[in-house]
Amino acid sequence: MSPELQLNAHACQADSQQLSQHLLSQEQLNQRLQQQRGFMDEVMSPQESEPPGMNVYRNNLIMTAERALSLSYPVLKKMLGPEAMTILARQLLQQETPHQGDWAEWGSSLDWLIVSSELHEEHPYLADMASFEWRIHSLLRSPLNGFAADSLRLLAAHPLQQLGVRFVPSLSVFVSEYPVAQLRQLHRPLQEHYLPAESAVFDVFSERAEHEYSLLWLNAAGLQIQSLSEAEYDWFQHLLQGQSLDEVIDATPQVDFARWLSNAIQCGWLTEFYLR
Amino acid sequence: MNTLNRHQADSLQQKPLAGVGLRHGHYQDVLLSSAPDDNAGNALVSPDFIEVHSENFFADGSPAQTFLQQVATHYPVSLHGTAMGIGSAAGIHLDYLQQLKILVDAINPLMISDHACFCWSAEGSGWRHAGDLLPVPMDSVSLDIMVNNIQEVQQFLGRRLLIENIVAYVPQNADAMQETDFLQEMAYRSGCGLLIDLNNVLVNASNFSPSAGSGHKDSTLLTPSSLTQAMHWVSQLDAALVGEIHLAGCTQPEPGALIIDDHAQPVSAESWALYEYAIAHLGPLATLIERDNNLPSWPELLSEASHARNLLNKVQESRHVA
Repeated sequence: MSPELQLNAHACQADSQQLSQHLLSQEQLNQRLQQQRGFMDEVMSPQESEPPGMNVYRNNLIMTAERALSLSYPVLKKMLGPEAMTILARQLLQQETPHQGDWAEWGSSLDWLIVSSELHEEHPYLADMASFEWRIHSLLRSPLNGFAADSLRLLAAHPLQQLGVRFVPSLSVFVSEYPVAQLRQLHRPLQEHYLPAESAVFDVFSERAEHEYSLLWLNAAGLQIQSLSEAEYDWFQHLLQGQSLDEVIDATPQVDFARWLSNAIQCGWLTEFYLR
Repeated sequence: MNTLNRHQADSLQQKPLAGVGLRHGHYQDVLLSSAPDDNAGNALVSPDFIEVHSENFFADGSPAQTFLQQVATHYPVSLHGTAMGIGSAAGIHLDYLQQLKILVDAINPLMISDHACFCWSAEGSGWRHAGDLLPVPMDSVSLDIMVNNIQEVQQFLGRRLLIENIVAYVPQNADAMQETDFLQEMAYRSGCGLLIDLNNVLVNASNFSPSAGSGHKDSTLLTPSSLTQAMHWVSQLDAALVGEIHLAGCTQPEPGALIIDDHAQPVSAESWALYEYAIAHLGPLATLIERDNNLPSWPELLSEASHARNLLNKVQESRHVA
């Protein structure tokens, strides 16, 4: 960005005395700032005396928030139903104020809201499902990066203790005490009215392992979710934390590096190898 | 300042454009079918342009943005924002502008538009976003704020903005400027253009007209008097300032309730009547069929766009004859 544009962009921000300096007094500007803040407060919290029509803005806000949550958390919506999602949206608006113009970036703390709600005692898996879905929602907004195949030369040129690996921005691992990936799969297709049979949900819970480990990433074919063993999960965790290939191979000998590397390139997990 | 690229400007001058707002439910349709049939089996003409909500494509390099780039290889794309809040006394968040700039540079849109409203509030060192189009008082203070913000954004993007009239659910003060005077003064001073949403004009006329009082009294969605008022509103406009028209429909309210601009119904008969009046007065302007809720099939939307195109063509032909 040119310095000129940078200057202009900063002038768009709040607390800018330059804004309208030649036209507006600071007092007028402050007064309008207060009025607009007050209007937004009124939309968020009903007042005893307010002009008719304020409730339209309030309802719009809740409806938009509910729609945003339904898009980010489609499986939770199926599990809880639209009315519960509206209640959660209303509560979450009090806890997590929208800071961006993009509603897709709002709603990250729904898992915490669920943990502190009465839902959690009876359905303790819901909070993890919320975390899992937010992870998916976020990775679907990640860029698709290719693999720098040239960096493979580093494997031949340097000892493994000097090398690390960088993953595509969307890749992450997820662990839960509940079978959230299986539950999500069960609720596909994500069309609004499709619900799995109760017996199928019961089977998933009754056959679950102690922990469910998952790998999530985005490639040209779309969202990918793969089940991992505990050792594979640790392997990815170590690499994501920036440990050297040598350290990771030592810590998780159950994973065959050559085979993993072939998979990694084929599946689109990597962006490059690098010298640490 | 570059408003349109040369090809786009040429195409705008050569023929009137009728476009369709693209929402998630039609993402597959827009790429799979460039000329589907209507229910009667008649081939429909493709939309002349596609308009999307800018914020839905802000994630840089994401599959959504890649998809939009694909769409842009088939159709001219217009970016319509719902969150810029050009009337915000706090200004506009720099992150928002940077995301929009990246998208504008990636898509090279036919038009860029947003609304005459405020959305942002400064909270200590942070920001709050309203998530809605909140009304500004139509006075000289709002005018100064808007003009400054528009000029800053236009300079930042290197593109001209079109600013849309909104529906307000709280009445303006008695000493407020006339909305058309306010919008036109804003456009003259800032160099922006206007996007006129005819349904919004009708809804405001119906919700807050002196005859209707505050709140809608009967079960008719839009009354003949609101249409007359809306025509008068349109007649006040300087055609040189208007760059685009939006057409939409909304749900029938309960008696006594305000009409909500929910974009959930086909374009109403009153809106079509106002549209014919508007394009006769303003000229055959780029026109968008806007639908956000209760989405119909893609061919149904194209059918409404085709109807708009036919009306635009008639106006253009009559102007050529004259």
